[in-house]
Amino acid sequence: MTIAETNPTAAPSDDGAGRGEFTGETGSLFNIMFKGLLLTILTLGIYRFWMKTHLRRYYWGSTRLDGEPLEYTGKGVELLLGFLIAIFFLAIYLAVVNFGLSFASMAYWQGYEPAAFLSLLTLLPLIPYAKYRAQRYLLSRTRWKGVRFGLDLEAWAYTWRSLLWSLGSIVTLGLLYPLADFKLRQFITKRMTFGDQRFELTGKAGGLYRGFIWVWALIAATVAVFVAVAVTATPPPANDPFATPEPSGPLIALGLFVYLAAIIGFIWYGSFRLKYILSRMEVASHGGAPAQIISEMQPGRMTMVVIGGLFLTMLITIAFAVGMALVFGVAGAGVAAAYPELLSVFDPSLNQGDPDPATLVVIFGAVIVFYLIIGVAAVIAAEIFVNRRYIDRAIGTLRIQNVAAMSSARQQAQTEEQAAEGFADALDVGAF
Amino acid sequence: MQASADYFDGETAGRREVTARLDVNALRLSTLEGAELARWPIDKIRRLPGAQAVAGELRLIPEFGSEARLVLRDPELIAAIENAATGLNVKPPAPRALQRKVLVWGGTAIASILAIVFVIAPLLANQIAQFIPPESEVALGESIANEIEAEGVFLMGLRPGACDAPEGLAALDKMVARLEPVADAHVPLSVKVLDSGTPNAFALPGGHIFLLSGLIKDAESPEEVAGVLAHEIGHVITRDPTRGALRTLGSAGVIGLLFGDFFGGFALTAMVDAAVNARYSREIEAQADATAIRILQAADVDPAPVGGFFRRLLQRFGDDDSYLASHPTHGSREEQFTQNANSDARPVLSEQEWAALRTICDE
Repeated sequence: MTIAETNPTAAPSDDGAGRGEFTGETGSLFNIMFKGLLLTILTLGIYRFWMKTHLRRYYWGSTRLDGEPLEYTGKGVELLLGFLIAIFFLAIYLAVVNFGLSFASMAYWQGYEPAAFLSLLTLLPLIPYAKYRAQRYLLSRTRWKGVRFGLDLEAWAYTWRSLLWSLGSIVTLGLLYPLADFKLRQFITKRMTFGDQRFELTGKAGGLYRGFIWVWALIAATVAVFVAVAVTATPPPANDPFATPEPSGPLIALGLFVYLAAIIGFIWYGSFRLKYILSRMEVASHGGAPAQIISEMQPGRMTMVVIGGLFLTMLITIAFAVGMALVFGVAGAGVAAAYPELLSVFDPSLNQGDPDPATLVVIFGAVIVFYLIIGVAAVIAAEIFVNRRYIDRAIGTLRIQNVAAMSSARQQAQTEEQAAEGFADALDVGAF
Repeated sequence: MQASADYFDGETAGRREVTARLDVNALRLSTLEGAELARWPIDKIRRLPGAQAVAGELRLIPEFGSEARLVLRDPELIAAIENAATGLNVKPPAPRALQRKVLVWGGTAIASILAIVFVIAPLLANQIAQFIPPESEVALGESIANEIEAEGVFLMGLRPGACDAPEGLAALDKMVARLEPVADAHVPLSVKVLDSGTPNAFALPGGHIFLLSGLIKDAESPEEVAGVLAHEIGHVITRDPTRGALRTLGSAGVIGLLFGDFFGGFALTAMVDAAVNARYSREIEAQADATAIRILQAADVDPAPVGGFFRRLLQRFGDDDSYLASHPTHGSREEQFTQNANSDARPVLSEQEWAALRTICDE
């Protein structure tokens, strides 16, 4: 556990390179998460909009570029409003689509499963749309040095491009993915603004393949090994109906090894990609040389940060689960000793009629509380030991070359984004 | 008192080093050369909302809504301003217009979901149910029936698996064979017994009917079981379960939306639940009773003993109690079946067959 070694009051650097630094403290993050999750549970999810807002204020406000922090100006109530608007439209959309499809499905395919599947399929176009709008909201609520960021309103143009690129990636078994990813990111970046200055994503996607091809190969190898496991498994003796095919042990070990390598490769590629794209972003100034973003993060070290953080999160979660199991076990044994008739729920021979609903409610309630406590511990640990540490390092290795070029950015009118990221939230595809 | 500070005017992103001077009732900002840039009245000055607190640094705005920012790092000036600016830590005003919109949209969203679940879905379901081909009804009912047989329904005390003692099955088949030809339903019937203490029975889309063993144990004669079976056949004929399934399917997506369930896991659970706990209106139940009496008469089965079944329900639970609460009162149902007594009727099952049916769930 490292506390960011930063000097928050550092004067702005004069060498023309605006350095990034992360000043967020673990304690305030813990408070935001603990209070936020507790209230979210108590309000059946409604508080999550305010928790998200507090979390963003923390991350934005702790991110200093050229000595100045980002400002997040979004409000929880804006997110709630966006969610309600999205719910209204999606409810009507689903009612119409679901009904049409249920009928078609039952009339022609004799089952409801095709309807559920098709209903999901018709929602697919909404996902890129929702993501674009969510990013637009985020940028419009972000300031730096008093000036707002923005994103042009071209969500539908982005949506059909995204759908075509996704289709291409699927058809080529993922080989097109880095190109699709880069082109879509370029589409968004070109439409991003800082005041009246425009962002640009320069260069080509080609370099992404140098990293991606390893991940792709590892995933392909994983699939290949498991196919081999299935094919080479010794068939069971014909006279024993309960025998299962006997797979080869060494092959399974190899498969698990390759699978683990693929997961690590996947995590590594996330940082490799982030560095690649960040380092090709520019902000055009008026006539002069552009400001250039440079990321000096080391994907290998970032991978260690993620894996170490996940490991720590797992340990904390397990420790919590064991502790809670002890607490609940002792409490449960105490209750059972005091009210032995409660045990009849588990023992049918003691139970002549149907289970007593009140007892069921108490038992279900205890189980739910048990899982909620462990879940809260896991989510907080992951936020502190994975997300925060990752962001800390990603920001700390960031520089803006020729940051002075951004000084001339002029404030533009605030963009209206009433639905905020409601669709993204309702569809569970949040941008951050 | 004065000190240097960083000033962002809110028009451009340029950082300007300025001199900040605290007067009696204002903070004056001027260039290092001395030209005045801005005058911030001290009572309107606020701390920048939402900023991360950082030791040794104070971020100010001249008033709420302004885009200008001032960053002070001089400890004495910071202390002086924190002392003089009384409204420094006032919270931003509540966004009233947004809150009103939340109320309006929240009401609209809830109203639209309620309208879909309680008005539009039932209306459409009633219309569409008539156009569903019988084979599709059977297939839909089968997927729900398989789910119930495989998993049981824990909260209803339904254990997985249908009862299958061979002699009991033969008796059940005989009873179904007596009613099915005269019922003239648009789909073939598939009748099964589930092991449960509850005296109940329910019909799924497409002629799938489940009798619970509690019902058979409660019954005093096979005629009573045949009456309940005929009642469920009445539901099958008027496609009530199909309407219910369609309605649930239409609502499930909308409700799933609220809980983030797009993968339809909820739809199946909801359909099983809706099928088992089907609540039809009294008119629909009365019609199923009427159909049941017609079927029993045509099959030469005496409806009067069914009246006895309802009389015992009345004695055990009273009227309007939990058992089939939406059905007509037990008293009126008893009367209807008793009035249609048929003294020339033939028995449904022999003594041995009735004994076998009563033990269909025993292994």
